[in-house]
Amino acid sequence: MLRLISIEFFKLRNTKFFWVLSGLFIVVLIAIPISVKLFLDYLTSIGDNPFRIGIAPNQLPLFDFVDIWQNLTWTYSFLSIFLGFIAVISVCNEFTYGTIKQNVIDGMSRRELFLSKIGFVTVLSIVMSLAVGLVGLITGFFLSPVKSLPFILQNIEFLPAYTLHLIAFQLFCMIAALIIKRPGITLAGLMFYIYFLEPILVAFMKYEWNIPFWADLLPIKAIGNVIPLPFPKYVLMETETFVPLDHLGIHLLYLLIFWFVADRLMVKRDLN
Amino acid sequence: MNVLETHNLHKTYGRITAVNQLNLNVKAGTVFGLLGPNGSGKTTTLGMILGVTTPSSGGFSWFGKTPTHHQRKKVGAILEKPNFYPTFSAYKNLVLACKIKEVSSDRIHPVLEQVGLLDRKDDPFKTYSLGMKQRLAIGSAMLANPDVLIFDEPTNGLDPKGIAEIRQLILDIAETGKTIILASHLLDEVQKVCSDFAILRKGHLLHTGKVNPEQEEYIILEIGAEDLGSALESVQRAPGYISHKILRDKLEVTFETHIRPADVNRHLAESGIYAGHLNTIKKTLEQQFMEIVTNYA
Repeated sequence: MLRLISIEFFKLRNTKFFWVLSGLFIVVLIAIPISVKLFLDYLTSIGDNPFRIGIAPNQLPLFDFVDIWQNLTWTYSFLSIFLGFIAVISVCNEFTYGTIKQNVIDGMSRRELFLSKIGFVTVLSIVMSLAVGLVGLITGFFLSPVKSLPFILQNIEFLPAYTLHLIAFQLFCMIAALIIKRPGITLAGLMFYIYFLEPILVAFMKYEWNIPFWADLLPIKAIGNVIPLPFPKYVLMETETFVPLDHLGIHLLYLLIFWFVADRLMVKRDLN
Repeated sequence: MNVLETHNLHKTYGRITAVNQLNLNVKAGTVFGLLGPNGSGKTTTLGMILGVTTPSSGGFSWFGKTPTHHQRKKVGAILEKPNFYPTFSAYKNLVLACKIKEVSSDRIHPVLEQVGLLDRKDDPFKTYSLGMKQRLAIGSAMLANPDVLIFDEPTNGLDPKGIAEIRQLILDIAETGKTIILASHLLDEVQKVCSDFAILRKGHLLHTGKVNPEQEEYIILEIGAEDLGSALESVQRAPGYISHKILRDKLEVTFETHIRPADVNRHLAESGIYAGHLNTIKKTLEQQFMEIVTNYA
């Protein structure tokens, strides 16, 4: 398995898009807590309080331990698109260059090819989650009033949940790439679905057709649901501050389905 | 020993049958030409034996064993066109191929040397000419020092110099005793390079045999002389004479197989005629091909 992952890493580390996209991921990762902090300080300094609550904006416990993990991982779930792009480009390029065929001709089994892609996605997701963990620790160390270990570790399960989210998201993108095979069309199609079609469907299912349960079964919504939106609690609304087990179950089910579909697409089809 | 055997190998795309119940045997040490027009199923056949295309039915065996991806590491192959990562240098592309084939990257240097790309090894693949790409592909195929090499239309799209280089490269490789399977739609190419051949048409195997049958039924000599008339007269009295054809400025004479050109030359000289041109004509693949195709038509 390690050999397969190293093969995929070799392919990627020699490309520009991989470093640009993962670089962007890291840059935004670091930039978000800093800019949010600066923005809240600025709001406080000019005495504006858009949140209509009794405390100054920079007193919001956004970066306090316990809260920080859910806040960060939920925010960072938008970054998964960068890793999704990497997955799409790496799969589509193999078809464009004909190298997917050549890899097989050279002696990789198709399942090995599949495992090398999936294996690398998993490793990349773990590495990026660890980066999120590091950013969380550093931010909390500077900004959190409580720094004792039990508080730090409480709710840290959002990190592995974030890893799962990244893996599932990349698999979803990879499947689109395996079906469409053209990078441009795949990326456009994915963006259209993720940012336009599915949100509209979700809105209709929730508020128009009154079938909110089905909205939670739509793939992007479902794989995002492992990290519930944390911010309503700051305006005193009831919020899930843990990884909801029912959503985790649906998420794992999706992971299985994605795994199975990607495997079929790569192992059973002609590679032309 | 058969390096490759296919057993009723069959592939359909919807209603189109690309390869029809194909039974092929490729013996070790031969240069096997797979001859057929475009669309006759050559690439589909190679795709199946290389694991890229899934057969609809039938099967094949490499080295007498059920095929696995590990055996493919012992088979060097190019299918359709050279497939490499365009932004990687030749060297990096070969490093990757070594990782996949699980061979040491020590092989890269000698292989690049053999295909004459050593001085360009750090340039990106996309900057290569088609001939260089083809040579790099042949080099990559040789990384694992395989027993079998498969080339699919290796000279397609190349200029005459490139074609000559690639053919020479293939002949050099064949010299080392490796088995080579060469798919081509060019009779001439198969004739120049191959020892055995098979003809495919619309997925059917029409014929399989040797390119130069050892048991010729007769030999044909081309004879040119200043006085063609008396040369013909003399030749007709030569031992082993069968028949003749008069061409524009020379004769094409058929003799029994035991006759050597020297015998004919001596006979002519004894009659006071000196041949200005004497050439043995091999029965060409084209003639064989035409015979086969007419028989099946």
